[in-house]
Amino acid sequence: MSTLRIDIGGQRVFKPGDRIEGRVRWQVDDPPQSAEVRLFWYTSGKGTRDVENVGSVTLQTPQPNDDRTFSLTLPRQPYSFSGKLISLIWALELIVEPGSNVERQEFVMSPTGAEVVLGEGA
Amino acid sequence: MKARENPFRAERVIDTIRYACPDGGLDALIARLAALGYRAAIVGPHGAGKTTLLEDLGRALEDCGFRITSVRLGADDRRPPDSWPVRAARLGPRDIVCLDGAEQLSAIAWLGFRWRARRAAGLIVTSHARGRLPLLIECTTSSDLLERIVRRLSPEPAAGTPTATELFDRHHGNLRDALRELYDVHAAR
Repeated sequence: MSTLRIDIGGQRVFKPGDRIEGRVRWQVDDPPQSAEVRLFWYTSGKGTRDVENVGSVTLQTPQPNDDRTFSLTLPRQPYSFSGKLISLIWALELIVEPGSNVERQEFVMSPTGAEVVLGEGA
Repeated sequence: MKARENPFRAERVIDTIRYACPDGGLDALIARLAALGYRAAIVGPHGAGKTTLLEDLGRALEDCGFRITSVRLGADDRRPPDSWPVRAARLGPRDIVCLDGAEQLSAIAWLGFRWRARRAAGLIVTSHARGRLPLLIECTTSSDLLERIVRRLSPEPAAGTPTATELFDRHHGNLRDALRELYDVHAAR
């Protein structure tokens, strides 16, 4: 059984341009061929999902039981937001292959410190 | 309700609800596909699960060692994408072409498509009507099926939510549109 973890120190809100520093750990059954941390956003809602990969860190010579640090810089946009039809969600993913082992950690990127909620106060 | 919390958001529907094959599941379907020479059609009306089944079948065939070439036609596409001839030229005996929306092609465009796919090991299409290739499976829907799907996505429906029967009738059996209406109902809360 595989175990993957992403640790960003409990921080769940970042500002545009912030640097995300964290640690990933994994324990997998088969010797890994690759391990990668990806920074991306995706949409969720009524329509087809959009995804954009913003950055990634390839972790060299991964071992079956491993523990690494990573650092990625957020872009200036787009902000995390939610409306009734669509939400934009930022996330980090740790992917260890083979076996498509994936762990996801979602977070908010916003200059206000909170997800922008569309239609609020209208 | 925020989009990401809506129980009927598109990716949750896709991740949670897959096509429920009748007796024998995908294995039986692949056996039937093999018996048809890997050239067959998934037939059914809008919103009956044809595309979902085609995706699941493609993944299962990849697990069997085939390479899948997917071609999806939009509602206004009357001919294959411009990239199709180049992709088709690379097809070989380990490739299976999955064409979603074969009914979109004119008779001549269909014959051209099928000819270009001749070197592939297989050609599976979805279509609203029989006739383009031997029938692999006919996808059907029912209000009972819709009810089961809705309960899975939202086990405790809120007051005022239309019943599965109402939705099924209103959307003429199109489960995709029925689930989109439920999305809107929840979004309005």
